[in-house]
Amino acid sequence: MKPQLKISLTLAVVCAIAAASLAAVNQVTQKAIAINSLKELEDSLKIVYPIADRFELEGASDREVSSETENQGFTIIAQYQAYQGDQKIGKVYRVGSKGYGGQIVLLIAISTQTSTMVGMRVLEHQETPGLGSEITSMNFQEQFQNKPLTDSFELNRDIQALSGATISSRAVIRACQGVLSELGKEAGQ
Amino acid sequence: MKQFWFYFKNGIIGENPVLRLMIGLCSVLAVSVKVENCLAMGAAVIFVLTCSSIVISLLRKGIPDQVRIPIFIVVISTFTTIVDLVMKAYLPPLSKAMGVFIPLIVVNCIIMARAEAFASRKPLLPSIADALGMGIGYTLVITAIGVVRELFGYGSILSVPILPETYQNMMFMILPPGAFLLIGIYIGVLNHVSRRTNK
Amino acid sequence: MSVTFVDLFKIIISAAFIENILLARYIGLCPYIGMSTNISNSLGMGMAVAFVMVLSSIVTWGLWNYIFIPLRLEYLRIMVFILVIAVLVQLVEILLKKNLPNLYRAMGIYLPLITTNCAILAVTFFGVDYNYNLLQVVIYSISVALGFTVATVLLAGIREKLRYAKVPNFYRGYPMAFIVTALLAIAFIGFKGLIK
Repeated sequence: MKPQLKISLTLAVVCAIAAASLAAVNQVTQKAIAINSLKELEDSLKIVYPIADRFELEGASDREVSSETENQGFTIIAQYQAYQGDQKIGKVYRVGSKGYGGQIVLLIAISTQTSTMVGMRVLEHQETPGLGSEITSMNFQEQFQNKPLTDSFELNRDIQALSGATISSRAVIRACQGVLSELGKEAGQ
Repeated sequence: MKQFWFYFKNGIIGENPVLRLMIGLCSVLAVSVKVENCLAMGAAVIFVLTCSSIVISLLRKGIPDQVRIPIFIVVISTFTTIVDLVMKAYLPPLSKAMGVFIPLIVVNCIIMARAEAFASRKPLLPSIADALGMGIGYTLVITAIGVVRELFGYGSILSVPILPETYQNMMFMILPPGAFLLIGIYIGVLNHVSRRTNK
Repeated sequence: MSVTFVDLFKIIISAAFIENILLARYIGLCPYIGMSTNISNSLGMGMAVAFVMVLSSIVTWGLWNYIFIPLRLEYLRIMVFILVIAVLVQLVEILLKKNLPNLYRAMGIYLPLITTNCAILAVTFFGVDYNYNLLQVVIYSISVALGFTVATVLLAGIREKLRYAKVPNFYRGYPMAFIVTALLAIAFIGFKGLIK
């Protein structure tokens, strides 16, 4: 067989077998992968708003944090309606806020019934380990649990900043204030 | 059989890929923040390395020389993709923790280098021995670094708290400088030890 | 979506310095340690890496957005991206051999080794995972290559001087290179918080 032909043929055969086996593995794992990402979302929503039993995505589809949102101070990535049975009890906002080391992604749960912030959970961050990363600690996050929306949400007057991590703390505050103003906008409509 | 053990031990000590051949470094330092990540990465590398070596060794007579690199790439990337998909499906938290370094296994110099230097020239059994040896040698080193980094950086090993509550986490170990320093020290110590034993 | 000059500038600074691919993200270490023995090698390699990095980022970006996603072939990503890089490196080799034979000879074995430079493959992944548009991909890949070259040249400069220093016997060469890298990494951490 001509050498050129043998080379191309070998390469083609190997590629075909490789592609076929990958397609097969892909088929098998696809479902599990899709279920995982859904479950991850469900779990995190449940953690921040425990008494709700289901959530529905509102408005535009839940897009991943893209570069266009990465460089802004505050963005709303997605919002969900929280239900207890058939009753709408509140909302959960998935927001991005610019921290010290990069984008911080958090969930903020609001109860429309009691006009309180049910809680806050940091999902992703790139803050300094040991300093800004403490925004994920229970001590810090507890301050946002069952907090009346009429509070001022000011750093050090209302919310205790983390020592050595003012910028990280401020980023979280900015996220809360952003959500509050969004709520105000929606109420005004 | 003697040959098998020779190649196997060679991968772990004599020609340890990380500390001697200086290959496969990126993943060693990036992933070694927690011991469980190290073990998972080690397992993934052993899997891709061994499977690739088996396939390449079996095919070695039929691969024309000019296309051998692309064929190595196709074989290695196939097994890497399999590991990536399987982890995303059944071990999602681990997959997230290791991030881009699972797909990067395909350019892990260890695998490419062994395919070129060994599996494509030697029969099946020695190739398996070499692959297993190199893979385990890699896993040992990455775990050795991970143990120190997790212990001093988080006070735990395999997420089991070891150091007392009052221990202040040494941030340095979690950040890149700590990793670079550790591996520099390890290589220096290994140089020292091996020169001593060779005397 | 409008991309302002400020956005691009932020990409440049964060890709080259704040999240330096070598010193902050641990990616691309093999050629970094191997090639940083003197400054001229490092510069040459930096340029070759930059060229391949930018080209492959553009090509893979195009393939991903116009073929992979429409045809749902995402799982073939690893295989195709690395093959693209391998092909581009071959092309660069051929071009260099014909037009710049001196540079080709100087680079020697390091040219084919660019294929296994994790940084290039990683950048192709990031270019699509971060949802960049074409302009951002180009700027991003150039910036990463810049950061890679800067870090490598820095280390090379120090290693050149180290040859005349009294380094303990067993730490000569690679161990010392890593320890110096640790110091460089600490210095680069200082860039954090540069972009408000």
